[in-house]
Amino acid sequence: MHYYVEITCLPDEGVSTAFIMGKVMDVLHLALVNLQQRLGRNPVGISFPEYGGAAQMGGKIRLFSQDQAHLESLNLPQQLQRLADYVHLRGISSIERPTLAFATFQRVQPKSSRERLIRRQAKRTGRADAVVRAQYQTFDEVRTDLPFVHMHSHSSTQSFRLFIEKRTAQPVGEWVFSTYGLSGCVGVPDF
Amino acid sequence: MAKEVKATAKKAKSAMPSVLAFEKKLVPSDAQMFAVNWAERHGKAQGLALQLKSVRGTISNRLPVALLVALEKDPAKLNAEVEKPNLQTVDHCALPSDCDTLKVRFTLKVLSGVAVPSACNNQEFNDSYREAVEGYIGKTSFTELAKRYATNLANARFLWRNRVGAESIEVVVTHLEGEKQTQWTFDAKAIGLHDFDNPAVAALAQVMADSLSGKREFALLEVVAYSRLGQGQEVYPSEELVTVKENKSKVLYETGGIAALHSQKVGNALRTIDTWYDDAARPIAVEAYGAVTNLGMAYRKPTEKKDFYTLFDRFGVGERLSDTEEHYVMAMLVRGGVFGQSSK
Repeated sequence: MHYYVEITCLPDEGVSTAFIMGKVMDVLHLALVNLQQRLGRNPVGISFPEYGGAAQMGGKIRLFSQDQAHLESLNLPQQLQRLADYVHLRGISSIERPTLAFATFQRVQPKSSRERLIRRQAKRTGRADAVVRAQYQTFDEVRTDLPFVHMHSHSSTQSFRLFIEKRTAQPVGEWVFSTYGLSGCVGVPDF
Repeated sequence: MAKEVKATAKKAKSAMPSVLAFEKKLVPSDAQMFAVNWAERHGKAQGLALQLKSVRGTISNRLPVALLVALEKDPAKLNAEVEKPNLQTVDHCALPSDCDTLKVRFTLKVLSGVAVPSACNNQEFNDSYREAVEGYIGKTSFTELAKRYATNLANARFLWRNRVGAESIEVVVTHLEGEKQTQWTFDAKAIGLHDFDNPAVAALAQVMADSLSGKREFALLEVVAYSRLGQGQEVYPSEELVTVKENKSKVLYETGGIAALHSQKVGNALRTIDTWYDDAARPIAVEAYGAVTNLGMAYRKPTEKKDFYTLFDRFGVGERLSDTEEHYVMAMLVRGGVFGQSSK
C-alpha cells in the first residue's frame, strides 16, 4: 500500500505557478530534513504528476510513503499554512493497484560551470589553482534543458535551480530518498 | 420583434461615438517599500534601497557557426572563448538581516463621475449612456464593486509576490478627510484571496461606494501593508522594462532612492475582481478581453460575445444586460480607457 498527499499550486494573476512551486519545495525540503534527522533516513518520496508538459514541472506535487504515519508526522497543513492562499492540500489518500506504474524523479546537477569545478577541485585537493586549471583545459561545459524548480538555500541564502529528470522504474522494497524527496533508483507510483 | 432587435443593432452602430474616453476612478500612487520589525512595525521605518548584484555566469548560448569553423582550425581560440567570463549585473532587493517585515505604502484616490466621459463626440450616445449609468447607480449604489475593491485592499493582493509565504500580513487603511481620519486594520490572511464576502471590509467599502456613486466627490485613502517575511528575505519591487540593452540584465523600479511597485501594478491588483466570466475559477483583473498575461489566456473572447466592447455597445444604447454583465462593464469604466469606435 502506498500513501500519498497531493499539493496543487493555485495559479494567481501575477504570481506564477513556478514561483509558488519554488516556495512549496523550500517548505517540503525543510520538512524532509527534519524527518531525516528524526528517523536517520527519509522514507518520503516526491513525484510531479504534471511533469514534462509544456509547463515543464506543472503545478502539482505528490508526497509518497509506505507508512501513513510518516506523512502525518510532516504536519503539512501547518507547514504550508503560510502559503494558504496559494496551495490546495488534499488529505492523505492511499493507492494499491496491480498495474501501478513507477517512476524515479532524480536530481541532475549538470557540470555547467568550468570555473566552479576548478574552484571546488582546487579546494578539495589542495592543489594550486593553475594546476587544476590545466587539468580542466579541455573540459566541455554541459547544458541541460530539463525541467527545474527555482529554490532558495537556507544555509547559503543563494537561489539555485533544482533540475529534475523523470525515468520509468520498477518498484523496489527499500524506500530511501534525498531530503528533496528525490532518488535515482527508488521509484514512486506514477499516475 | 425581430425587426425591433435589428433596428436597435443598427442604432447601436451609428450611436457609438468615434471619440470616447474615460478617466480612471481608482488612482493609486506608486507603492514604496520599507523595512521594519514586526514587533515595532508602526514605528519608524527605513526605506529599502536596491542593491546591485554581479553574478558570474558562463557562456551558455550556442556558438555561431562561423566561429565554430574558425575554432576547428585553431582550438586555442575555444579556450579563449569559454574563459571569457559572462558577467551579469542584476538589481536585487532584500530585507536587511535585522528586519523581518516589509512595509509597503501608497495612497489611493477614489473619484466620482463615472457617468461623464472625459471625451465624447456624440450627444445622443452621451444621453443614453448617462441614463444607463444612473440606472446602475440607482440600483446598486456601487456596493458590489466597492466591496470587491475594498477586499483587494484589505487582503493585500497588491503585494503580489511579496504576499506569498508571509507569516502574517496586516493592512492599515486610513481615510483622510482634512483633519478627520478614520482608520481600519485588517488581517489580510484571514480575508484571503478567494472570495469577496468578508463583512470586515463593509465600512471601507461604504466609503468607496459613496465616492464612486457620487455621494461624495472623492475619497483619499492611505494604505499601509506589513508583510512578515523573515529576516533578510528577498522582496520583489516592480521590474522595469528594459528597451535599450545596457550592461544590466534586470532593472528594478525605485522612486526617490526607495524600491517601489509601479502604480499600474497596484491598480491591476485592485481591479482583480472579475469572477463573472464563464467557468470562473478565480478572480482575474478587469480587462477588455479578460486577458491574463502570465497565463497567456484571454477569458473573454470576442467570439463568445462576453468581451467588453460587445457588452458596452449594448449597455451604452440602453439595452438590458444581466446583473453580472453590468458589474463587469461598470468595472471597466472605473478602470478607464479609450473606447471610441473607429469610423473605418
